[in-house]
Amino acid sequence: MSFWNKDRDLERIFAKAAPQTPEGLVERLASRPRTRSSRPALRRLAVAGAVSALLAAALASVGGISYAANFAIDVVTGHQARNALFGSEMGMTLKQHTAATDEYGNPDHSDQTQTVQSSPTQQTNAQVPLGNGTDVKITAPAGTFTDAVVVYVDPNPPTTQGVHFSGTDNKVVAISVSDQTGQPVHTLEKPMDIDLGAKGDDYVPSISEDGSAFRALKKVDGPDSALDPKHHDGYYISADNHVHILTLHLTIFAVLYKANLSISESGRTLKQPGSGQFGDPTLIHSGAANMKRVGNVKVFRFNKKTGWSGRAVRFTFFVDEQVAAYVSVWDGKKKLPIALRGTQIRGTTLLKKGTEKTLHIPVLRLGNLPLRLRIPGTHLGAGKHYRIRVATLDYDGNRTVQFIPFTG
Amino acid sequence: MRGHRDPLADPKPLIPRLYRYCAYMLGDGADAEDVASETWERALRYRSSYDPRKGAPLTWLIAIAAGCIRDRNAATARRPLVLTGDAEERADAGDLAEEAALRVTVQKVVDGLGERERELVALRYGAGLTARQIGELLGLRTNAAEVALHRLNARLREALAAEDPPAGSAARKGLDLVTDI
Repeated sequence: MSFWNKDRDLERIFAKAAPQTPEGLVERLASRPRTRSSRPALRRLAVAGAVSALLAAALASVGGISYAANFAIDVVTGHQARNALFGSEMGMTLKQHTAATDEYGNPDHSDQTQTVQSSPTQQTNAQVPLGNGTDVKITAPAGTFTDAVVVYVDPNPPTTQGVHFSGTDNKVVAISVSDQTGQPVHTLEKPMDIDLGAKGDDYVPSISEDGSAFRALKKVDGPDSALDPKHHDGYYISADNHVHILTLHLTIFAVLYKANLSISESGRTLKQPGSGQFGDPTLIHSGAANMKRVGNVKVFRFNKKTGWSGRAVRFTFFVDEQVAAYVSVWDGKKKLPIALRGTQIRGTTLLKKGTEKTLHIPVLRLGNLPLRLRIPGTHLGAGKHYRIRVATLDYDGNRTVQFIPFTG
Repeated sequence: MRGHRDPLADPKPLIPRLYRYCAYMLGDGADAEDVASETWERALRYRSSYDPRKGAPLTWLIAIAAGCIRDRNAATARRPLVLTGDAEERADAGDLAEEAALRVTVQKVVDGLGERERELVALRYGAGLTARQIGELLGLRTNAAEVALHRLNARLREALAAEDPPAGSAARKGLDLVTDI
């Protein structure tokens, strides 16, 4: 019976592959104030009891109370709540529409912001010190803007000032643009090039819409490369080893120590750094896994005392990020069976009975993975040629395949 | 409140289904989380308008979510569905590999669906709605909703079967592996 031919199999498949509710979301939403009122926003203010008179006055001074009464407040979620104007017990805050704007969409910059006038016919250049001994250099070719604009380059964006970043060589810059009427410009006609200088090995070019949740950028080949069609951004490394971020939209850009990332390059939520779970940002990287064979493949008979028949195929491969690995052994045409009982993974011998054509191995720790496969019976003939196929799938779904030849 | 019933009296079973619906519609991640939160806030505000005669609380909640997604400018480039893997710390290592391969496979299949099919996936497999509830939401008779789901399932089976065999194998069998590999 085909695996796919029953609805309950589809139910099982979708149940297993279901998107997992982000940690804390249920608790956060379920704990929201639920007191009923004809003016629910105001009642929540009273019931929460966490609003000081000063805060209430601040709300009123920016029209916050009437804004709430018009149900126009956007609720921000976990990662954005770190920048919330009010405490989390309020359950609501004013949403920032861009990374460098206030609650009304107007640019919100620090004192170190540099402004540059530009127009559709000229190339835009800006160079601003980041405060750690390096400068950020902005280049936007002619035609990037459709109108005369003002470009704001802020090396100290207010939205990141309350955020603690791990690492000592992080670089962050917010870029925003306004037209002559003061309206923000969010998207560009051509990619802007943002040179953030050199980076350390464990530092990742990234982007954020709110200053606290950063997404890793995808690497592209060079300044003229097509950008990711979903995100319209990416980065390349120039000949002088500088990180250049290319983008068609304006927000906060950074080169951060990898533990600071919360979203992978494909948009997946990353796990707690250091947790060791699949998706730990300290154990994955942009692009497909780098995998290579370590040493030679050895084939030998099992010691008679083990009681195991067949041949052992011992080899080691190295992988530089967390992956799901799939290992199989091929003669010229087909896969050979791998006996589970007697197969060894990183020194641990499997005891389960049965055979598999493909061994599935989740690799959560990086480095060398020594394997010993037991090929039962007489499938391996002396002097004949075989191949081990190792395929890996990383957290972002990038696939790598390698073949390791050996002789029986 | 009509019917004197609070549709959000028991939020914990509703929120994961709400999130899954949003994730199938928008892509798993920050956008889905934002819309789920926004939906919940709207539901809190408008729960006095809930009428149990018109449908279950979950159906009402998903209708609000659908409105939030429309308002969110669904015309912009839709990010392909990316499924997270919140594997429990003590998950069997074999399950982890199985999940990884399966999620990528399902991701590819759902991304290849049309708008209407994707919505049906979100309603059926995300929110877990019945054919009748889906019909109520989409303005279809129950029979029409069942036919649409039947066609969707046939399409899903065909698309999944066409995917790389290792994903299929992983989904069928788990291995008895030590957790710390």
